[in-house]
Amino acid sequence: MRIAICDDEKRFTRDFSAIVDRFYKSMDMVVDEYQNGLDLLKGFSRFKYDIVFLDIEMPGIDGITTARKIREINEEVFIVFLTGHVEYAIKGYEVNALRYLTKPATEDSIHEILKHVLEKKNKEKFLWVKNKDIEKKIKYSDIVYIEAQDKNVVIYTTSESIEVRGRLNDYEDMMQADGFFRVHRSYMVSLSKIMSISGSEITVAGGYRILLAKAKEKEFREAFMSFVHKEAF
Amino acid sequence: MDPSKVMIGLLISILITGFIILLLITVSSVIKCFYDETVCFSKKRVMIFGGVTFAVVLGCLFPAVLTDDKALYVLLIPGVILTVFLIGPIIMSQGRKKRIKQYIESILLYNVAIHYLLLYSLCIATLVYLVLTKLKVTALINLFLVKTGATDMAGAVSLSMLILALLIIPVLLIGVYLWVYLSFVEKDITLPMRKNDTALFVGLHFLNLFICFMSTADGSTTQSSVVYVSVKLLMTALLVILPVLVVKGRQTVYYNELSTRNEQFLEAELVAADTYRKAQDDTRAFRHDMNNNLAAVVSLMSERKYSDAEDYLRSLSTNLASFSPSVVTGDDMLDSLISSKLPVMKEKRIEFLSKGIIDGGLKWKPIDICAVFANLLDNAIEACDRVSVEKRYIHMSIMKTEYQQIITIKNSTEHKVDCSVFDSEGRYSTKSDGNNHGYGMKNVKKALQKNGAMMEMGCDDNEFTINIVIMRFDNGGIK
Repeated sequence: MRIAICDDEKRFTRDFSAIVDRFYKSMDMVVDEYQNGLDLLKGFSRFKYDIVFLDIEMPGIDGITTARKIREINEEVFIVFLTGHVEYAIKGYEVNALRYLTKPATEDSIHEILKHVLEKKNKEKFLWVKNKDIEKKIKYSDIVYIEAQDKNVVIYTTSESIEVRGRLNDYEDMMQADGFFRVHRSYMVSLSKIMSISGSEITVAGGYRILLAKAKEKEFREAFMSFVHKEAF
Repeated sequence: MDPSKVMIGLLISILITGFIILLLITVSSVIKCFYDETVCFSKKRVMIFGGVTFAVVLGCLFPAVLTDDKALYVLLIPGVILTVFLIGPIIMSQGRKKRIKQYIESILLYNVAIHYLLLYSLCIATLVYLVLTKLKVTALINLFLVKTGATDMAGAVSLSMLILALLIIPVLLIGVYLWVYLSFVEKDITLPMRKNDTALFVGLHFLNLFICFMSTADGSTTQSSVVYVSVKLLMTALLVILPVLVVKGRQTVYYNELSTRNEQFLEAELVAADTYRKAQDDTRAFRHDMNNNLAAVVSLMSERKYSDAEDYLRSLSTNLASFSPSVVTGDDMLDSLISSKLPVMKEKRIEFLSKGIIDGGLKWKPIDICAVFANLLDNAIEACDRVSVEKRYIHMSIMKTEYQQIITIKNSTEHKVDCSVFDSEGRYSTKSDGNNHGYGMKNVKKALQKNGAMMEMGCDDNEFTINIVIMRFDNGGIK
């Protein structure tokens, strides 16, 4: 796992590296220290970071602006903001920050975040899809929903849709333990991608609207609540 | 044919038709208010619908009056039913281009279909018993015309009474209709009507219909017919006015409820204003102290008492921390609401902890934020009150996933809370003052539902947990 820490105070970045080293003495955990946003952005073009700890109040370009630029390059990296005052950090929702830490960050909070990110990385599952045109693996976390169409299923991800042969029932058996729910005879949705639920309709990421079968509504709501409860960080 | 007979027939026909139309519109307006989301009436739609029904009913009634041919009524009823079923929903359903498609789709949804069905059966019930009443009236008129009305004193009095009733009731109904229309439909307000009121309303309608069918036997005297018709009309009028009366009664309760919510809101606002003023005072005092403090540090430094200077600076920075707001949740309204509850919690020695931030704040109306969190915190504080002092706590945590946010509020309880005390209506019934407090959880649920959020309650031996799931991007917006 590759970690970036960006803070204008050298003392802080050094302390941070020490904390990470103390917990994870493995070679897999690399920490790169940066003192300003521009250097960090340059670093992003060289390395693929998994998580970045970013100070908000920095001279030059501030943390929020840097984070916005990072999102243009990399959508997946986890961003954790460091700040003297949490009340200033609230604008960070635009860049989907994982957490806000008040400075100085405690060892426990850093440890908690790294553990969460590691767990997420290790838990990631993939789906092999193959049809006459392509063969590729898709991350479970990229799938928005799967629709049954005759003898095929169409897998909608955040960026594309792929039609493959198969039965939705088989996909349901395989994926329902991993945050997917069969909401309708012809639809299975990823619970993590649900943006709103209104009556008999579910809106998922990308604005797709999916029918919710009346008979499944109660079970679905319960599954959804417990999913959010389990997954939230 | 006798021209005076035609004139009277026409007059009564118009009066009764107007009466029917008014009833139809009133009933639909009232029902619209029960279910404002599913059956959507706008001014235009009500007018079109009313106009179409008017034309159909007039067309059917007019020849019937002239010939008094009962066979026509047999044709009239299915004709009206058909019209209402076919034209009504197409005109009333939302959307312009896909009206029919949407209608069919919406009819397939169980909830909507039930509401439509209810609406139509009420309309048809009203129509049918008015037609039956009209039958009586027509027979009565004929009876008068056959007799020499002038010599029959009692008959003349009865006739004038009847005509008076026929005139007064529509006027009354116009008033009711206008009131319902202007104060609710036009302003798009939902009537605070409950399920049992609706049931009563519908039940009375069918009772009336039943009575209508029961007493259509002829052969009674003129006077008894007049009394019968008058009673019939009055009862119909009562049926129309009844929901309005119920609503009026409910409104008082509703506004009481509203005012408690506003109270909570104002309280939070007051605390926010107070905090702001206090912060300003503090800052002024701090600025004043700063010069003295700096002078002190400078003098310590010049005397080379560096460790003393360091201690001094440290004490300054802890002072500074007291300037930060006491609660930061990411939402200003929620912050000030919690701040307004902090003194009470402090007084009762309840430990309050808040962890996490609502990214971008809650995008709700402030009043909804108050309705949810003021009630939940009040409940939590009340529950803590029954626990021994050292065990009192309220812990709030805010966490999120990619598209959802979860707010958890935990509080200590004396013993296992029976979750079933929150009945289906969400009333929290362990409170003694049922009248005022029962609304608490109901308001919470209402406000959450309005904002597309969900709630779940969990009960442990010594802890009560509430989870609220909020959609982070609930407006079709892009992430």
